[in-house]
Amino acid sequence: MGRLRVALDRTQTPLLLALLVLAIGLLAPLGGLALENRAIVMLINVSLVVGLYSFAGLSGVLSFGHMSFMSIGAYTGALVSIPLVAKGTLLPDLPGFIANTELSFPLAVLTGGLVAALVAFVVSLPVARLPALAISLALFAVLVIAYQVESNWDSVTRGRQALFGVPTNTNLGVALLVAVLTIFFVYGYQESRFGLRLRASRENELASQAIGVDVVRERRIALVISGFVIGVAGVVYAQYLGVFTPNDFYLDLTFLTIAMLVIGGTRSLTGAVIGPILVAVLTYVLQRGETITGPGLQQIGLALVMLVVLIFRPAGLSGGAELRFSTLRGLLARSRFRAASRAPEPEPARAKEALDDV
Amino acid sequence: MTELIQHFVDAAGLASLYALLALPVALIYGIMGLINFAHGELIMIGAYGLFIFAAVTLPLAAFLALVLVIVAALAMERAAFRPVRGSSPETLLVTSFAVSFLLQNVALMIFGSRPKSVETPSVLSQTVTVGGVQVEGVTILSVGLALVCIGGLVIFMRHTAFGMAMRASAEDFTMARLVGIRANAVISGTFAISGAAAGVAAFILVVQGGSAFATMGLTPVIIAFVATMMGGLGSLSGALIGACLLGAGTVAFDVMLPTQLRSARDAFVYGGVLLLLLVRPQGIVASRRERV
Amino acid sequence: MRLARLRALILALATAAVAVSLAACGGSGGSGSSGEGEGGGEESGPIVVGFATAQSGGFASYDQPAVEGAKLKIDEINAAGGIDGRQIEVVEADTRTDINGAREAADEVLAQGAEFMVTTCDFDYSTPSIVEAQSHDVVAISPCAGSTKFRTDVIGPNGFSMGTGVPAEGASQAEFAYERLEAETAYVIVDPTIDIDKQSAAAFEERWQELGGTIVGKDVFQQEDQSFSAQISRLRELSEPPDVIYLASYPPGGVRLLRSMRAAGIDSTILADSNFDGSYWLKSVPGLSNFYHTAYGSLNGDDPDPAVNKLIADVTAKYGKPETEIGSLSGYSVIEALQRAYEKAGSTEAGKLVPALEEFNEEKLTIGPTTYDDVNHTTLNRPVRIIKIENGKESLVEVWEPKKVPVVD
Repeated sequence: MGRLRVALDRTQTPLLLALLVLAIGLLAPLGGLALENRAIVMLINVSLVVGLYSFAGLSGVLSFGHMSFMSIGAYTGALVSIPLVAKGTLLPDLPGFIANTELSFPLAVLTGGLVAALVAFVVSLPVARLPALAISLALFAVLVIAYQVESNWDSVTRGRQALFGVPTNTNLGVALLVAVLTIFFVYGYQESRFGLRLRASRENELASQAIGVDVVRERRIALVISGFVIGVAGVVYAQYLGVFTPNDFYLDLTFLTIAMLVIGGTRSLTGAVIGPILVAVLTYVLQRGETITGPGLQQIGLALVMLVVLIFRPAGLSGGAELRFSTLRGLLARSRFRAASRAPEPEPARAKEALDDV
Repeated sequence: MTELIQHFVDAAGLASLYALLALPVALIYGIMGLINFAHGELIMIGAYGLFIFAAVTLPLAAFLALVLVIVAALAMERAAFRPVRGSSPETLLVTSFAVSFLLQNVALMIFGSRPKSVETPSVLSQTVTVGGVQVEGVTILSVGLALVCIGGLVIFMRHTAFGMAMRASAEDFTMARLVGIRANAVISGTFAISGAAAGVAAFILVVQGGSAFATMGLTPVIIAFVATMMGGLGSLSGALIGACLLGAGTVAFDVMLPTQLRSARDAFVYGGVLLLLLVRPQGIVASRRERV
Repeated sequence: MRLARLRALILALATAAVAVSLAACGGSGGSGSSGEGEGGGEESGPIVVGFATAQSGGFASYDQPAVEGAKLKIDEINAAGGIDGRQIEVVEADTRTDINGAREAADEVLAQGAEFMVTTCDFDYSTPSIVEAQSHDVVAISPCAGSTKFRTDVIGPNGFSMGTGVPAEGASQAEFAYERLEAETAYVIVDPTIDIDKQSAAAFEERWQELGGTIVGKDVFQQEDQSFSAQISRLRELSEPPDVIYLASYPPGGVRLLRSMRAAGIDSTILADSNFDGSYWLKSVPGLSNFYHTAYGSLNGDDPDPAVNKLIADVTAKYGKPETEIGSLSGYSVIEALQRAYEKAGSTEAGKLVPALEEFNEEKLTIGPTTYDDVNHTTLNRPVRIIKIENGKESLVEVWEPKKVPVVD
């Protein structure tokens, strides 16, 4: 009994978040196909932003390049799962070993994730050694390079032309499963000694080095893990769309995912989960409003709400705190309590300096 | 030889434009740690300003557009960035995303997505031939305006009280405030300068392309962002060198790559950026503050 | 402090959950009442046409003229008693110029009982809507996409485009320049940002060489480039200026390059496709001369086809003068096509409507003769208008019927 309590205590955050995600995922289909599809995209965004969080949130190094891993996952997953017959006409000049591969969906997802992780590892070899700010820019360069290669490698990606014929295996169940697994996986990483070391380096790089944290190594691990998670999300997204171009994984999505993470709060997994949920719900509600105001409200309204959130809660909605049973209890009882917060409150001015003295 | 000089002149033109884009972004970054992605929308506002005021004579239109951009920059700072001042760089960054997204969509609603034509006197876009080298009007304009603006800024920052206050704030914001420098004034002033630079850049872009459109700020701001980051944290001279390298590199790859690879030019340019980062991880000009 | 934060967090989450569940309930009520409309098989009551187009974002200026053209035809049909006695009812949703938005907009109009769908003016952004339409057995037509990828082996049987396949435009320009302008040397500049420009340039090149012309050079530039000096230098380095330059791009990037070329004193004849249609960008290149582009019709009342002139006049009277005629014509013709096909099929069911559409063989619609077959759901060959720009003024030169249209990928 005691052991169960401990286990429950340890996993309460991902459990609650998974429940939240499940609740939304299971409610959405009641609203018909339109809402179900929105829920799928939202759940994929949750996986994506949680993946981004596993690097950017835990290490404190902002990444402008993680969508490159998503595109790599998407293209890999598509190439190994397009039926052989279609592949022959679609991509006649494909290298032999890919041309003759047709994997089942789960294997395609795994392959996409692993290839993305591999690329992330190769990228990390030189990049993880750089100071934080240089990593952000280097990853942006990786994004541009990946985009350009995919846009011009006609024999493998069809270049800027849409890659079609991708089996559409992603349904609500798949999106839910992947989102929930991602939440548990990243939480597990966050609470592991690797995650702890990485977070120590986020709080104070020098001090963490002083106690023996190999910051380069920890960032490298985080890059590979986030590359895997985002690569998986890429396969799932590609097999939801069925047709995609390199542009679907470029600047727009980069800005959007960063915004979702920051709106939710970069310093907790809870933030990474509620950011995409909030944006999805807002988009939907504002679009309903458009029937009264006319088109355009959604974009403008979303931007304004984002500004308001940032102004009133600069550390994001979660404020760096994790969702716990006690949070719920505390709210219900409306009594004073000391929230068992994981991350210390980032003092604004100090946070800036921490980034400065890399 | 003539060919080489020709490429050099072309590169100088693009590098000057890039420098004008990067300078204000680096300036604001240095003072408040904000990478202002909405800077691109200031350029867009400037271009639409030129479009709106084009009915009057060009000098007056340019002046009015410049005023409009400066006002927009000040309003942007007051409404969006002041409330989040001192937050983490991510929060500041995403605030600027939101401002950028907002302004772009407002522009789309007002002007639609088709570009608006802006007429400028043909004198400005005339090509001049000097000893076999053809110099585009835009090149002369970019180099000239960049030199004036950068020179003006250097003199301003070195020799005026306000400029020194700005430099002090960039060095150590908290300390600057302690010795009595008014933060609001310094930051507003910096935004006004960035607005002016955006207005000048908008003028060059309109003279070059003859049009204003809602998404025109995206490419410039990305160039500015990359140049600023390449240059080293908040270092103005670093950002200028970064901008020049980026401009020169773009022209060089455009000239050297064979046709089949040319459409992937940016892959080579950013490959260069990556290499440069590996060689100089602290940026081209390592910032003073990085000494710990 | 922390308590307040957490409380706000919980509040936000609770709001989110409530909003979603409310939306879910509301949505389910809606789809329940109109559920029978789905599937497109209903043969009485009004025909529900769903517009899943961009009302906001970058495509809105391109899509809305098509929607206006379509609504004009719908009003005409309804005033005349409907199609086979069935009135047409319009439902709309905004794609927000977004890939996912295109799918969601399709879902929304389908939930409101759409039996026929009009999608956005681009292949990539139409596909998600078409896929949704397909799964509901509904036919979807993109009004003005010029891509030739609306093929049954690419996106399945239910997706069509009313636009002219862009290779026809490249081929027409090649034939026109070779025969009428007696040009022999051509230079091709491609902006690879969007796929159809690559297609139009490839078609021009192939047709040009077939006719016996020579390609003296090829170059590439990017829509977002801030300078075109390298492209201009290369043009200048040619030993002799080319007779014609084929410029495959679109405004504003293509116009910016055009302006730079003219400013640099490159006076060769320049040819382009219908991306350059409309006069809204002409002031960007003051005094432009010697420039030819293709178009779907003339916007200025001098089109040889009186039906086109009447349509433009009607659209102008109702909605104001459009920036180009492409949207009005293609939108109008989408509904014409629906009417003709429905009269044959007697149903909006895809199983009946698709074969009826595939029977179109040079079917005379206002946009021009329209042909579909069991593979190609874009009209590959259709006469185009050649418009000349001289001293910044546009004029119709002639209607060109391409003799041969190359197949390009």
